Amino acid sequence: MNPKQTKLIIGVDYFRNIDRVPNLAFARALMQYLDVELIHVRATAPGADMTHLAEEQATRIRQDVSRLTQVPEDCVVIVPDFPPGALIIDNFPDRNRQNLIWLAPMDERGLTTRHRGSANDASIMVPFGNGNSCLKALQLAAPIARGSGAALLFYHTTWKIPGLASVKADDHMCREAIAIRKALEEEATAQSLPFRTLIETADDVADGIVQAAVLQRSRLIVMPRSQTVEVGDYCLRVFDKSPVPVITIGKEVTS
Amino acid sequence: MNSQESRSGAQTTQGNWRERLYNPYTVMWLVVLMYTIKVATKLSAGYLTNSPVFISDGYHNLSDILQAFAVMVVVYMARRPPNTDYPLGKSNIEFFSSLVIGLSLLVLGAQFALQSLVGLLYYLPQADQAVRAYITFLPDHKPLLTDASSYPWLIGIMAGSGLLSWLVSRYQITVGRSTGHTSLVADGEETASDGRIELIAMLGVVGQFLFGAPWLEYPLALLVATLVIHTGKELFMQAFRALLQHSLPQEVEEEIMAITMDVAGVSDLLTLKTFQVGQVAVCLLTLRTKLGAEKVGFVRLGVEQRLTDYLKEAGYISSEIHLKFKGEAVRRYRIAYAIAQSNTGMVVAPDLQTASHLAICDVEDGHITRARMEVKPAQPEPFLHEKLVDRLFVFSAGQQAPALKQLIAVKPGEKAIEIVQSTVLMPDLLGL
Repeated sequence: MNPKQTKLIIGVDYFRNIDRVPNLAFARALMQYLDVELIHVRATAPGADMTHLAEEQATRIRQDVSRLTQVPEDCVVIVPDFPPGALIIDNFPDRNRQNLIWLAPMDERGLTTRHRGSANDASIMVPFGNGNSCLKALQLAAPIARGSGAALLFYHTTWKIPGLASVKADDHMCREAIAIRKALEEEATAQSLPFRTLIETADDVADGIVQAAVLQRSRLIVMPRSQTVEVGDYCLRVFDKSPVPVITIGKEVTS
Repeated sequence: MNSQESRSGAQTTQGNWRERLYNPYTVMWLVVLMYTIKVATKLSAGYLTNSPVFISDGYHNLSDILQAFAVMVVVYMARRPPNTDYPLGKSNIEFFSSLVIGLSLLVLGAQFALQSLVGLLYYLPQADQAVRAYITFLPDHKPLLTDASSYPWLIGIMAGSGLLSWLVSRYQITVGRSTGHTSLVADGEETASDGRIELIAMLGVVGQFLFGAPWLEYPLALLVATLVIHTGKELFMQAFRALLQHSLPQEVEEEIMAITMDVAGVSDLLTLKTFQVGQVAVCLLTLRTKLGAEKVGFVRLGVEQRLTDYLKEAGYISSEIHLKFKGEAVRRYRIAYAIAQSNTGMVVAPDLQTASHLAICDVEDGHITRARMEVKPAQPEPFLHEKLVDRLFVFSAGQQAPALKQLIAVKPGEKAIEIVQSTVLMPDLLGL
């Protein structure tokens, strides 16, 4: 799911919700970081008897989006719906559409509007468990981290192994998670991206992720939806709790 | 005992030593011991050599012993745990002693400066006479009355005393800062000032011994007096501010604001009140956020944790962060869309005349939160006024568009309703 290779589509709903301006600000930033030229705007086209006005509506929407994002008008594409694999910026994602990537800005006005001081203090968080899907999340997180000048933060929280006295959370990791950690760190090193890894034994996984994101000055949490969990997906729980913007990657995108 | 137990035992012993070394009472007993030695040596040497400098300094050190006991009492009270009557403890009592010590340093500095000026004037008899003509209450100069055999002793006593003061003051200040006892720090500063004065007195003796020029002492003494006054003023002002709950220093408040605004979810910092109780920084913040309760919990955690970390870095022994969250102030107004029925559904009408319906929309911060579809009445203008609509949106294409910015006729005193172009034709894009 390399954004450049697959020509990622970045989209917003036009007038869909309150966050039109922040949504467009996030879209603009992602276009820059992911080297995407076009912004796709979903807008219903008029019916057959109004086709003569369809272009007028499209022109006005293009002008409006262009004014708000500084993207040239000819780079604003009006679409009736988003194709699978598109990255949509919206605080109210359709949770059943698992073939899309959703970015919820929460109450943030942009990816780099906060975080003073050294850029590397800020982070793009990629939580990981014992599945491979977080490696795909890294493919999306890496260019965003590079573009926004933030470090990658690999986060894992593990259950304590009964009978193991060590207070070091790393010692309680399972073999699969250790392997995933290694793969993530190797990939970040290969891409020359600054990263740090935080391993904890949080009481609750979603709380642990959000808490770490807030304390570690994360600008964004990038998480894939679970391939197997039907109820209580950590990704959705993080989405519900986090004040930090969250990207959730639908399971059909990572499968 | 196996090796692990022995190692842990050694660590405990090390821990105990450190605990004792950093115990404020240990420090103050050392201060008492130091001043007892100083009093004994200075008074003995003073009376033996008939030196008023040594005798007065000896009595000054006697008062320092009393001050050391007073500091111990203050530390004892400050260390009492908080209770329902004093929920933040009684650590502010330390600022009373800082206030007194600051004041005593101001007096000491002024006294020392006066003595030095008198000393300088003594070597300028004409100037002395002229000044005394105007300032009649100037004290008399008391020169050192010594002989060659006593010089080495006097120099040794003052040098040793100055060195002791410097070492003990460093110890007091270090322990005071690490344990958060302001009175210990203040007393340490006072000890350091004593040390400086002792060194200057020693220079006077050296000057007299080596060059027969005891006046050398006085210009230096004026410099030291300035330092002492400066230290006294700082201690006094710090205590005064803390006792009257002055805000934390401006740079600290600015950093608090910056850190708070750095936490995701904080839209605005509405109010910030800060003050200090003992070495505890207290911050009361009112924050604005749009987020719901579950997310606000994490915003609270982020602000609290990051401010606590910063205040610790800034030198406060602990902090009390109190956060209050307020929802976003919403700008509410009402707009309307002229809606027409097409063959394929509803669209935004090109003008009011062709509209069949009016969508009356409540807007909060640019977002339509409620929309009610009304059949267009026979007289739409008064209806729109009655509904407090301030803008009516239409969608007219082509040449008509630029000429559209007209106003619906209004009665005198009524606010005009502006007719503006809608960006979209399809009402579903508005959430209708």
